[in-house]
Amino acid sequence: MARQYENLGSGDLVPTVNRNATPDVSRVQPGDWSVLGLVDGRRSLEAICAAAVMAEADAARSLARLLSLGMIHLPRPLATPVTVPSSGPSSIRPSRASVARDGRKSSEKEVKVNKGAVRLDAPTGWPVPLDRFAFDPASLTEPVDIPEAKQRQIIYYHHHLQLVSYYDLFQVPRDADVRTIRHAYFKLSKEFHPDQFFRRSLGSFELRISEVFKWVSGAYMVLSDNDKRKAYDAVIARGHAGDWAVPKLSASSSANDPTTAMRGVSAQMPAIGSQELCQQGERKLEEGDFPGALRLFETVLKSAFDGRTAILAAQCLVEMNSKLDVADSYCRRAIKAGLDMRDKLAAYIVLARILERVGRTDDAMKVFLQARRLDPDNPAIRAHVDRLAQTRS
Amino acid sequence: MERVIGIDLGTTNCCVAIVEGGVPKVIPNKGGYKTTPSIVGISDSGRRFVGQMAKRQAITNARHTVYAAKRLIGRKWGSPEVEHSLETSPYELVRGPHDDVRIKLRDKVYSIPEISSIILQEMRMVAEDYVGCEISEAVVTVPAYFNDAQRQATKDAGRIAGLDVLRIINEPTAAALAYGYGREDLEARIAIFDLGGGTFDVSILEMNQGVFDVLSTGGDTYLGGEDFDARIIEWLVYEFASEFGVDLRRDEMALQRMKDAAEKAKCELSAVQETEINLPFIFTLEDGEALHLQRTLTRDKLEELVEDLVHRTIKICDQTLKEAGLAVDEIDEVILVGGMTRMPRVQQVVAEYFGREPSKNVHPDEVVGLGAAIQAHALVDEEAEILLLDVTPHDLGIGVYGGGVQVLIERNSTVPISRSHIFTTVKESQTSVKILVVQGESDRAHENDLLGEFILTGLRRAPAGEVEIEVTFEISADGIVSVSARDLETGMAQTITVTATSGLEEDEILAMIEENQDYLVEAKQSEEFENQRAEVRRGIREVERLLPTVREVMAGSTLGKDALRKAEDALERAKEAIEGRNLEHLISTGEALSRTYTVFQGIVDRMQ
Repeated sequence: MARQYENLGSGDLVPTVNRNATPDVSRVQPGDWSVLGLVDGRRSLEAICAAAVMAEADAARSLARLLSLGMIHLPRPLATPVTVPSSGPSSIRPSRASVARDGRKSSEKEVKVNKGAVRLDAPTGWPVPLDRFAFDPASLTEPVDIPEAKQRQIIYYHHHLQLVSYYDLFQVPRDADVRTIRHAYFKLSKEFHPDQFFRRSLGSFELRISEVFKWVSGAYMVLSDNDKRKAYDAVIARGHAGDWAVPKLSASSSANDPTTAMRGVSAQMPAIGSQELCQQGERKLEEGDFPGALRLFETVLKSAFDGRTAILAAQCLVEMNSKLDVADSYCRRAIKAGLDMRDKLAAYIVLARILERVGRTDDAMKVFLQARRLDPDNPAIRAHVDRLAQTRS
Repeated sequence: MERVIGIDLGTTNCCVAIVEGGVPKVIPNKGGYKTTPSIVGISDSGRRFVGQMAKRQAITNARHTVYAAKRLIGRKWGSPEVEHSLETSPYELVRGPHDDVRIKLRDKVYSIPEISSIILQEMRMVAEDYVGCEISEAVVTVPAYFNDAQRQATKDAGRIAGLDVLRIINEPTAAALAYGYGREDLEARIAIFDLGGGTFDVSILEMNQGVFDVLSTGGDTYLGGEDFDARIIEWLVYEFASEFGVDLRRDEMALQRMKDAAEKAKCELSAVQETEINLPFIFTLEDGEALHLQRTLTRDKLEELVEDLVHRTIKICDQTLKEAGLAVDEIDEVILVGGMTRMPRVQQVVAEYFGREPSKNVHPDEVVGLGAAIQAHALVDEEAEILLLDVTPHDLGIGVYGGGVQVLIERNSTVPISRSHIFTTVKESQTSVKILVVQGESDRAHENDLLGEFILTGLRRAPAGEVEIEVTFEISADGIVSVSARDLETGMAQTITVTATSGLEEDEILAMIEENQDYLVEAKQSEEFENQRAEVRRGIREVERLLPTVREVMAGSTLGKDALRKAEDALERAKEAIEGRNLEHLISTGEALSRTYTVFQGIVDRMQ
């Protein structure tokens, strides 16, 4: 067993010279220089004390002085002078101070924090900022061993995985180099790797944490590989964000597909922030960003079906002229789910347009007529009916 | 505070370490050594020997002493590795009920995890003696290249030894943790070159901000120091055969002696240029003439014998580096791990390949155990700043129609990870699918390791290709594989945790745990017996020392006569008891003896 040195630690530690130090040389004792000469990055504390020309205790004192002057490093900088107990369960565990900091205020000077604390700044540029995010109060009342700020962070990230690009997830610019991306990845790993929550009571957060980490490491896999990153850049240029399959896998594979990956928890998380998402989607719809709007609407629909959102989603699909069968089923489900007058009209119009688009003009006409019965004076519906009647004749 | 330990369960040596007050340290065993030989022997009375004790008795008990059990763990009967062991091992291998390998020692058959558990148990006791309390949790290391079956078997070994194995981590990763611990500000790419007793591993890691990210890992589970020894033995056998026409391989004792000598010579040649192998009386001819084996082995000759082995390691390094997407000059540090890296030729070839001298900052025999302790500490300690991002070492996939493999999780993917894939039926009206889970790099299913199989039934009758089944693979942070399958139409799901086909059944493990506890009780008892016996011996000595004085004082007194007769009686019975095996008898005679001693002491005191 290696012997212990007061103020230094175990004798088998190997000190190294800190060449960047700017010590107060006046405090260095003459004997210290000869001890410093023995610090070669190979000799252990014990070996240095044994090899020194002075008594071992004096050599140890020299080493402690050099350490306190910052002239040498030890593998583990000891926060307090620890004399390691040689046996017995007598060592005292530092109390688990929960230094949980709010994500928004973390620009203060870095202090040593515990696992499970929020260390990252709140991400910027996401659809809904953290401080305006509507947390479902019920999701924060689980009896889990996670500080509340951390719970919020987990929910917030988990909710946004599919909504933000990998770049926004990592909080790096689009042209970031691999090193920057890697650093961001490491930072996120420290927040979300399941090992950081080892043996804690996590409840439903266990699944969320694991999904966030898997998503983050999947994102890193893409961004750290030149070919995959190029392909991803091409995809997000078309308006998609996180919902993107790793191209190397065959087309039928749903690897990294959030619809599979996220299925587990989405049902338990109704309507968190969905209002904001819908508002934002409607703005995008007005701006003509149909794919972007659709993503937001579909995210809302995945957590809970809502007639109005379904119609909006269907409208996006019609504008994009894609997946009309899906749009069709959105409309029919919305109508069945019961809508107010205005939304019902909208549903009929979208449905009729779908039918018209796929060439079922007779059915389209029927639906338009149904809509006219609801609101006989609506000029838009009348215009549709007239137009369709003309094309049919 | 929870006391958790790290155990390096090596092929030839084990090492146990603990983090105390933020400082990782190796715990020496009772003999003061920091490593313990991974050897288990069973004596003719059924007594277990582990470590140095086992090594000492090996030469006279070769048939019942197990070396390098790690080479067989999680292996299937009939695999090339097992065939090789069948030829070279002095102990008897038998086929287990799950096509696994078992070892017959004396009249009992042991599974490999049981043998390993005996060693783990020993390491646990070393640690318990040191900290002075019970320890039930550990991180255990395995070669990076171990597959799921080998990892599972190692975990089973831990359970049989009464240890909760928190995590199985890779040896090179552990080495990197030990290297980087306390230098969290360092940003470096590290290559770990680990050539141990039985296995070779190489891993490329990146460390930064206290995160250890494994980029790639590779190796060969059947390349290590023992292969180097085997080359020397082959050479000795050949030399001896050409001189005397006698094949020494058929003589167990000779084989064992050559093994020891080869290992010793190999180690010596790391320091000197030539060494003498001197084995007198290695063989006795039928007419009683004794033959002696005496040879000089030079370092050059040794290097010639093992050159291809050394070059195999470099080829694997090359492949692993390629998988990490790095060039040789992008590596900032090379760390050597394992006793075999002391060989100058190995160091030379590694330095040539990487274009830099390997780091001398770590101790090749202790670094893995230290790393295991650091990971154990990082898991349970709230303050620990270390995070390990480990990878899965093998491709994981399922066998598909036509004998091919669909890889779902590529090797070197960071764990935890999950991946899904949708499969369809291949026949009309097919109502069930069998899913074979395989691990390995071959594109043919049968050439890989079969981890398990399961059947999903009750599918809708439909034309081929119409029913869709989604299969999801998950590898936990523990590296344990689980698979679930779901019929996309009905949502019917099935989950299995893959159990190695060559592994042990749950009830077998439970029985082994129980049996091991029985053994522990027995061993404890015998320890108690030995202590008591020593006590009684001391008593006898003490009483006998006083006896002449008491005789002198009490001469002529009736009371004295009576006391003397009683004392002699007690002495006789005590002497009898220390030869026997009855603990209670021993205790009662011990008590009688101590009463006698008190009386005697009183008499002597009064006299003065």
